[in-house]
Amino acid sequence: MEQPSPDCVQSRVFLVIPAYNEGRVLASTIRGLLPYGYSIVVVDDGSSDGTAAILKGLPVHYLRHPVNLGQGAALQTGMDYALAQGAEYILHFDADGQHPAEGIASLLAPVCRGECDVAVGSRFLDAENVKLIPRGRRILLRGAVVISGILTRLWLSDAHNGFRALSRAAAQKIRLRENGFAHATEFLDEVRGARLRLREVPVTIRYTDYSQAKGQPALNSVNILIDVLLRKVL
Amino acid sequence: MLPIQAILIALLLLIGGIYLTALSSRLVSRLALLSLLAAGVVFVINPDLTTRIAHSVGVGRGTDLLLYLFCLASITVFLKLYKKNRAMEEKLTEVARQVALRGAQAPHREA
Repeated sequence: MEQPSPDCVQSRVFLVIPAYNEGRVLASTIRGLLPYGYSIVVVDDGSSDGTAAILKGLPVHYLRHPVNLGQGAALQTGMDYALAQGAEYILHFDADGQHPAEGIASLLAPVCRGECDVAVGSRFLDAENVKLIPRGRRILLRGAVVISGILTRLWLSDAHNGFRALSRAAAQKIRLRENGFAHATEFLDEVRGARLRLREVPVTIRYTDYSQAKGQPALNSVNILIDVLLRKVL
Repeated sequence: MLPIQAILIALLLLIGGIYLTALSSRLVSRLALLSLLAAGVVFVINPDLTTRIAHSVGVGRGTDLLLYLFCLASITVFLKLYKKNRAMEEKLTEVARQVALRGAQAPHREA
């Protein structure tokens, strides 16, 4: 496994985890992360499942939106907080444990080495990984790549991977205004607008029953597309 | 005057009154509304006028012309409301974000 360079000090790395009613899975995701020594910021997006109580005793930074705003808004709040805390590197991490903790180091490595400002995970760079993606989802994601490419003019192999690493300077330049899931496209737009150097890093995604049930239903992507288009036009 | 004309004119005046007193206070929108209402009253009193205008722009009936204009106006209103709603959402997000940032709990050391 790739190790981040020495100037990438663990405590300066902040993981931002948006959580909306993720319950127990969130606690086990966090326990899996603790041994790595990163700072963990949980943004509770107005959950009603007692997320605060579940996290009690875990060494995490805890923020709570008084009302549910959406994943994009939670990420932005977490980034604001991490920057204020002096974060040098910020990662977006999923609450449901679909991003492997071992992948953090490889995602961070190019950012820490200064080879890029933003690294995003891709499920499509490694042929073995692609096989793990359920068929329906694979087709959907391929379609998303094309649409996202047309809209953002950034041609990636995986347009909607929520596993991202940013340098401090990059995080300061990015501002997510899209509260919902359209933030994934907006994020790329911002990266391009700020002329940040982007790189894709192969990652594996664990498709558990939980993340499958919780994940975006295919039809939702139509909704997201409309959001994205409206944002472009208005 | 036909009964429907009296009813329509009364309603137009009522809408104008409500709008001017309770809703927008911007001079531009007030003037726009006043002229729109005035046009409404003129068309109610003289319905043939709409047909004549319609003919001059190549539409068969005055009613059709009004329908087209109504559709355009509806779409404009929809877009305006959408924009307004977005702006409101952004404000709400900012407020909620500040609440979250102020109430942030850092991890307890040595706990």
